[in-house]
Amino acid sequence: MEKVFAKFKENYDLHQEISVFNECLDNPAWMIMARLPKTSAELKKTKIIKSIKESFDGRACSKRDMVEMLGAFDRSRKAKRLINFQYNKRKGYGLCYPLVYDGEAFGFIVLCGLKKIMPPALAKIFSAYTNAVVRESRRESEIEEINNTVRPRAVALSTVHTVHRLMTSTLDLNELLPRIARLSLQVIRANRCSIKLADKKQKVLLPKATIDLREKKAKLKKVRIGKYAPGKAVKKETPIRGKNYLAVPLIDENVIGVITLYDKIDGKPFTQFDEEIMRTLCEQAAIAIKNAQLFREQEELTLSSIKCIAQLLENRPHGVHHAEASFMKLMSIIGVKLNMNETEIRLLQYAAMLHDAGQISIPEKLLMKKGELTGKEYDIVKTHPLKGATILSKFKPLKPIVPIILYHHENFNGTGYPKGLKGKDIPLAARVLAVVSAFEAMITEKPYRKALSINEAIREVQKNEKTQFDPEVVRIFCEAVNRKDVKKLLRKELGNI
Amino acid sequence: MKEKIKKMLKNKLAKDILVFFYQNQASIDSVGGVSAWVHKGRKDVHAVLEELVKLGVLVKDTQGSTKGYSYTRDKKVMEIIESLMGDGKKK
Repeated sequence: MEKVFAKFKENYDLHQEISVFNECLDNPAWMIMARLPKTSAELKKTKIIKSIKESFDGRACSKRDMVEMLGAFDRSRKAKRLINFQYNKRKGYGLCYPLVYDGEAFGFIVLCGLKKIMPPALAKIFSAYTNAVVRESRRESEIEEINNTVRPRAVALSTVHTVHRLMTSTLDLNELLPRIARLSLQVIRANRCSIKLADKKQKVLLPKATIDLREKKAKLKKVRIGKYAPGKAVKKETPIRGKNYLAVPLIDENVIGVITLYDKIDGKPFTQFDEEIMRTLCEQAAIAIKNAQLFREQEELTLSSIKCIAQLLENRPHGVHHAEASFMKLMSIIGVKLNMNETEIRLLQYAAMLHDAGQISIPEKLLMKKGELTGKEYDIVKTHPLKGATILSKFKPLKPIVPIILYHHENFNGTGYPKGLKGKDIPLAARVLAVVSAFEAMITEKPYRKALSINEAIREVQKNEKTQFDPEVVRIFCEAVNRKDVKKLLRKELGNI
Repeated sequence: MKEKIKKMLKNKLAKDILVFFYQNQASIDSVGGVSAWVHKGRKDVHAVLEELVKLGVLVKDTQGSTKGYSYTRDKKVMEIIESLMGDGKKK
């Protein structure tokens, strides 16, 4: 009601009305008031008395006038309609008009200093005009109310939607957690955000991501579940809010952790609205974190399966050797240099572990043969990329590496197998694997020859660039394999070659 | 910096966008979202958003094809905007 009254007083059309009626009524005194006086004492303090005094040469209102006026106000209040009144020995005229909204008077217009009673026709126009301004003020007030309540929530909803999209578009936990922390800081306009994940066995919360914009940064430490705001939020499964902190649990099916925010930039305390927003954000964050954790578990499962297959291959003659860490590192360095993304690098590493999986279907006697292979025997050995690709294509997570395995014996000049692809027609990852697997074969002892040293093998690889290998890949490979850390790791894993 | 922001604010759309983020400092929104708030086409809004990011007035978060724009946290820039906005009300 107060807001409607404020809007009414500011309304442009009301001021137009005043100006029009001033001309018609010879400039009476206007009083627009939220409430009318009920006693003479109250009435004396109003502008009504002052205006009457001014219009009658400073003469005060008589007690009788005041009684009449209070009676008129009372009737107007009760009847909710225009009531005329007289004062000063019936020489002065006035009127009281209630402003009615939803059947309730939220204000009054009092006119004093009229020369006579307002004519009924003019009173009708006055009522109609005033009621139109009341309706307009009511509409304005409702729109403002909507703007003040719905709009901030609509903006917040839109923010939550954008944040959701930004959070769910990554499955990498190492990338996701700092991102959630940064977005939470932005949404709540705080100075520090810490994400802790629960270790239920240890009954502690482990710090996983923290963004601290304050000059004096806090130390990262684990917190026991039940202790301090983060620990209490997790134990009680409900947000804990203080003047300068807000801890909201991350709940999926169970509590998986907590996001804690500290110190708002404007120095104000955290509000109920901040808590509501963080609750929603944490619901989404919990799902995103859970998805990323599941994805990581899936990845670990895939990697374990690959290691298992690689172990089986290792037990075969001519199988892969133990330099797994070196080759994983080598592939990672080469992948980064070739601007591959994380997934492409991971697939390259898987391919490196399984590139000779097809040899499982090659008779052992051929792999163990000390002398030169006959043409027929060599044809059988040449089937191993296709056989490997066929075996691995059955394992869904490894489907993306099938082309790498299939084409890793293609030569850059088109003389390789199984398809005789040439140059850039050979997938990049297969060109990388061709170099690395050839290098791996050279430094491994074979039944028909001794293992080459690392440096001899590098020279052999360089000798075959442009013919067997992509020269650009060879250049990057040489840079990578000549790195001190890579050579050291290779030597450690392979022994003193 | 102040002059650059002042110059940028001569563009009505840039001013509308900045007023939106100034009044809703906790907002993070996409190009589509901001165009809905300022009632202007996505293409024009996108171009202005990028200009405001270059100027350091807005911050951009990108993940894949999703871009989220939000108000700066740089205190100096915030002070400049505060002085330029004058009677704009924060919410």
